[in-house]
Amino acid sequence: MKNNDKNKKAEDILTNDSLVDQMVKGTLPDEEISAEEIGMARDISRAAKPVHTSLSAAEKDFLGERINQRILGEKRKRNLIWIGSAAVVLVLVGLTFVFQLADQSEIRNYASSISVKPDSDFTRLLLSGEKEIRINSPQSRIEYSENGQEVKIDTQPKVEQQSVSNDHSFNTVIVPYGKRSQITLSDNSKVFLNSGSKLIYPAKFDQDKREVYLEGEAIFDVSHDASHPFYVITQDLEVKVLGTIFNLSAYHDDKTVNTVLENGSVELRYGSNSWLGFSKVKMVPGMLAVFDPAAKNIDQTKVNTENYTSWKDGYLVLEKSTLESIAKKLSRYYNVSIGFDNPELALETFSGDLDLRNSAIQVLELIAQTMDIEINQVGSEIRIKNKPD
Amino acid sequence: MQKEVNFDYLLWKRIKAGETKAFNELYQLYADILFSFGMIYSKDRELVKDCIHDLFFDLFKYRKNLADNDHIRNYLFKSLKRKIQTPKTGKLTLVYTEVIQEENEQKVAAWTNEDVEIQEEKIEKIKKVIAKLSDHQQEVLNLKFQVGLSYQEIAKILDISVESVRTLVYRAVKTIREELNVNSSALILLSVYASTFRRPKFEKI
Repeated sequence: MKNNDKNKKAEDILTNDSLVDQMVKGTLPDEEISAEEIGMARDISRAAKPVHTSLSAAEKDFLGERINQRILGEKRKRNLIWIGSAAVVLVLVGLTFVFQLADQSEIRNYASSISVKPDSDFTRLLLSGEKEIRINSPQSRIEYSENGQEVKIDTQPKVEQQSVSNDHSFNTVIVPYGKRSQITLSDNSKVFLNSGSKLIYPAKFDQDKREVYLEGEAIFDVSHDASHPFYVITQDLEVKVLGTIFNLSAYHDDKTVNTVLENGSVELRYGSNSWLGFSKVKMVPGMLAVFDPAAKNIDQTKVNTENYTSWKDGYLVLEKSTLESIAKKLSRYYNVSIGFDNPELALETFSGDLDLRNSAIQVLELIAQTMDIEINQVGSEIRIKNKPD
Repeated sequence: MQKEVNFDYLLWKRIKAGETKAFNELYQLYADILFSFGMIYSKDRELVKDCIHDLFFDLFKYRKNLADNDHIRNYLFKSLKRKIQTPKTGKLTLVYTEVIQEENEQKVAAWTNEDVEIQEEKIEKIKKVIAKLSDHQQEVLNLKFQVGLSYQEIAKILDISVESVRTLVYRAVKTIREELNVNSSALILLSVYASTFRRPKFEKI
């Protein structure tokens, strides 16, 4: 079809799919249509497209996660019924099999369906019934009532959620880099969740045990209840707790999972090469247990526990820490990227207290005063380099 | 076009089989266009997101009842529209301390270039005319230029003929063009005024 009509108007362009395409691409033949009409057509098409009608990448990811969770939740419900009838047979099969099944714990399955996207601007709380609450404050407080049905966030009015009677309704808190959150669970245990971390827990705990899932770093102050042991599950390691305070760091981008026990007693369980398929280790207060998932072994050393738990009070206590590990902590805490001009610098060590109420630059400047280093802001990155002679 | 239909058809089959990955693929493929589409029928972003969520979940739940030959795009668009237009009962959206910051950026950009500013004024004017059009005309304009659907698709979604859709757009655009031409002389005057009197202000040293 030839368009030799010099009198084509905006409405002629806009009612023809192929002309609209050409308009978008800017390939409309201007010897055939006047520039004025092309301009008019373009303006009208723009006016019919209001701003803020597109989905941001973060929104898309998050909505996708919600849908995924919901679908997996539905599948889980069906599988549970099936497992129920298969359980009788399993008892005969033996112990190792049972452990493998326990390993597929429900909370762990659920956790694998939600990925942490620490680059969000908000701390996000996912309640049962697919409700999402976004929290803006950098140090948020989330408190559950004893029955798990009421949630208080910072100074906001209480939020209610239903269906907590359902054993399988998990809640999730996702804290992005640069923010922290303090959560009081329904059993009155407190969890200080560090930057870039995720905690999953039931709104109200089961009858027999208390189970939460952690990715990232948190300090647990677990309320004592011997008849309901408290388990913290991470991807590679499980911690069984009986009323205690400890710090657990299980970031995906760290090679090891670190547990520091302040007081009380915990038992670590992890997959190993033993004939049972797993091993158990008890910890006593004042110890740091470093679990290496690749080598499947745990090393314990005596440490000053304050060095590992002080972040919850807004400062860092460092004893001969490498600049590399300090940079990693600060970059998570402040959500900034920190790099070294000279890789050897990363291995230098620093001891002292750092006040985290200051900015990342101020904190690093403080370190720089005692060492031969210089701090520079280059674009969005902070660079650490040798002081020029 | 034929390829796309075939691809959709295969995806549809996998969804009917309950393959979780297929749902994810479908979501990645359609989330953006569905959202943009949904925003025609509600100004509430959270509501539109909730409805997309429900749409995909229903798809999973009732996958066994899905017909084989359903056109996937058409199905998604129609169901989403129905969901958004069905009033929600007792469902509250919980969003605290939401920040919306995008708004200012465009205005700032406009200040840097006078041509852009005149352009923006014109578009604002067109928007006002569009707001006075019939609901049906507005809907079709949005479907065409906000979502970027073809006339064929719009016709299917609205259950009217392609010619009726074209006629709606034709009349809408004609109305806009004529309304604007009436005022165009005033507009040109305004822009001359703007360029003569504003410039010295900026060049003052």
